[in-house]
Amino acid sequence: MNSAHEGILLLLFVAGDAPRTTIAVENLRRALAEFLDRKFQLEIVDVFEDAGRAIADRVLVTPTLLAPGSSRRLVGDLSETSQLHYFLQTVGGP
Amino acid sequence: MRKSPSGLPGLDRILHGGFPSGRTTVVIGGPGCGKTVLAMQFLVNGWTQFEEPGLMVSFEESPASLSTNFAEMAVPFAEAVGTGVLLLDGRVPVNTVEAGSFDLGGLIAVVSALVAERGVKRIAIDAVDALFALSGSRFQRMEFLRVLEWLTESNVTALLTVKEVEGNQGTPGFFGLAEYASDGVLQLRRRMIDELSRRTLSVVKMRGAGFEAGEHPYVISNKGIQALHTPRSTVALVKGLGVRLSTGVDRLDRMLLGGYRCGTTTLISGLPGTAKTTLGATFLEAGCRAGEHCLFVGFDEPAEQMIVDVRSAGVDLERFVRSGLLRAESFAAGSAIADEHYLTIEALIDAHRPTRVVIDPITALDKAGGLEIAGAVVERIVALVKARGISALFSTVTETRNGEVEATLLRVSTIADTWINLSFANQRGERNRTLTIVKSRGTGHSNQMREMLLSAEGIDLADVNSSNGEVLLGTARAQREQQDVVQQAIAAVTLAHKFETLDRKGEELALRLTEAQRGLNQIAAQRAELVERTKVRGRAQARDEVLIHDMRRGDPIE
Repeated sequence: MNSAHEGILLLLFVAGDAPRTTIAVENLRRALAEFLDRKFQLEIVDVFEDAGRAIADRVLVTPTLLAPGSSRRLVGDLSETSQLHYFLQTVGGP
Repeated sequence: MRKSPSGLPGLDRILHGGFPSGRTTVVIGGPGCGKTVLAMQFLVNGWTQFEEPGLMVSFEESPASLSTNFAEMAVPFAEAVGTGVLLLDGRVPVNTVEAGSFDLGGLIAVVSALVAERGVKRIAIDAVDALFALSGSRFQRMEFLRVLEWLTESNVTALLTVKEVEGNQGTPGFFGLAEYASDGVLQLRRRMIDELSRRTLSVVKMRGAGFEAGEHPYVISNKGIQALHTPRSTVALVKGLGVRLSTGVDRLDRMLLGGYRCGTTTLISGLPGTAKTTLGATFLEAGCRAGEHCLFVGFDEPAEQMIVDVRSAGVDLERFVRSGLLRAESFAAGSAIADEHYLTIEALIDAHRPTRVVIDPITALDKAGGLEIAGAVVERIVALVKARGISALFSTVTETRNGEVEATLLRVSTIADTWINLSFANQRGERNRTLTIVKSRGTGHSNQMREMLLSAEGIDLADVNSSNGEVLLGTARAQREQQDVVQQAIAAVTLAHKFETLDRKGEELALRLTEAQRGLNQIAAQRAELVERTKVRGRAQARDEVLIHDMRRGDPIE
């Protein structure tokens, strides 16, 4: 599911194919489509597939969106788009 | 049902062996109840005592802060963490923003992986409620239930701690949820009494498993959670009940038909200054002299001071402290809740293994959380010493002259096998000490009040003078005793004098009797002589008459 573009890495931790996973992925893709400069690279991590990465990144709630290198993180299905946009603007830089 | 012991003796007794294995027990309690300590000890003991790997998911404290907190405690935290117990930092990272509904899928995935990877048998999830501070109550119920369900399926023994916030019992939060959705609920409580924390725990429910009902006191010390596990009363078979132990006072031994009975409890009640401590110290000295281990627990006065004080009354305890036979400890009663003092005394008894124990004064415990708690603790102490076959002596300070009423408040007097009351009698400008045996189970004992005499040679008892229906003590008694001696002497002299007088009179009369007899004899002799003389003269006269007749040639005599 990795994006083919180079850019700022975003990690979306999800728990299997739960309804919240689908909603979060859709919300995130829609938001990224609005950032046409394609400066983001999305990686989706299923915590049930790769618990080691969840442990390493202290992810105990799902979905969780984070950008390595930034301390900011979003939890939830990303349906609060204003929070999501603010997050992307902050980690994406000017 | 199989149980997973917590390794905490008191708690395991209350839980009839431990937490139900493979199940989840919710631990509910307010701040300062020791939920984290309990959860951590469950894991640490699980690994160090039962070789069960454990996992701690801490939502409130960082692993570093847990390490710091446990470094102060006599708990093998460091030994367990890193070998068999894993700490997982569950705190929500700073700069986390909620952007929609979330779940605990991450937690479940991570924990599942660790359980499979490390063979984890015990899990503690500490302060899971902290997570929901992020959101409202929207997901709480569902996610909480999901975690419970997953834990049950995973077949690990789990503790889930939940903070009880004041007033949330009535609202549909974790409390109500935990109560119906989990198999077991352990409630921890803490309340303030006289600026001391009193902690109690109770099992709200434990499906399919037995437990001790009711509220059980516990303390948090450097050993962690310690629940009071000795029962408040016990019917212990006392070994050597017939054996008598010297009280250290010969006369008192005789009054009690040989001394206190082995393995029984004696109460010494009395006003301040009635030499209760000295009587207790004398009891210990007698034990040490016989080579027994003895324990003195003093409240509100340093034990060193006590040892100096009783030396003036001829009791030398210092040499036994030096030889190690006597252990003398003292505590400020108001510095800890009575439950904690109980555990301290229990630990001292376990360490020193005494046959004689003196607690002086046991009434000080009511400064450690009030009469009700003190009363329960005293009952536990009595049950403890009985169970160990220890002969104990407790002193109680009575604040008023009405000693009997005051001592009953602590219920000691009803539990104690022997009750000795010390008092003062004010008489003719003197205060004199008295001793009365109020009761002594299984012993015929003197009902007479004795005067207690203190000197550099120790305690002695004197019979009171109760002549003319008046009880006399001290100088009055001595005076009366002296008076009695003089009067008896006078009476003896008078009597001897009377005997002497009579004897003299008797002798005199006997003498006169002899003389009179002699006189009578003389009179009789003289008379006999006269009679004889008269006869002779008669015969001569008759002869003369015949001669004269013949010479006159008279008529023949008829």
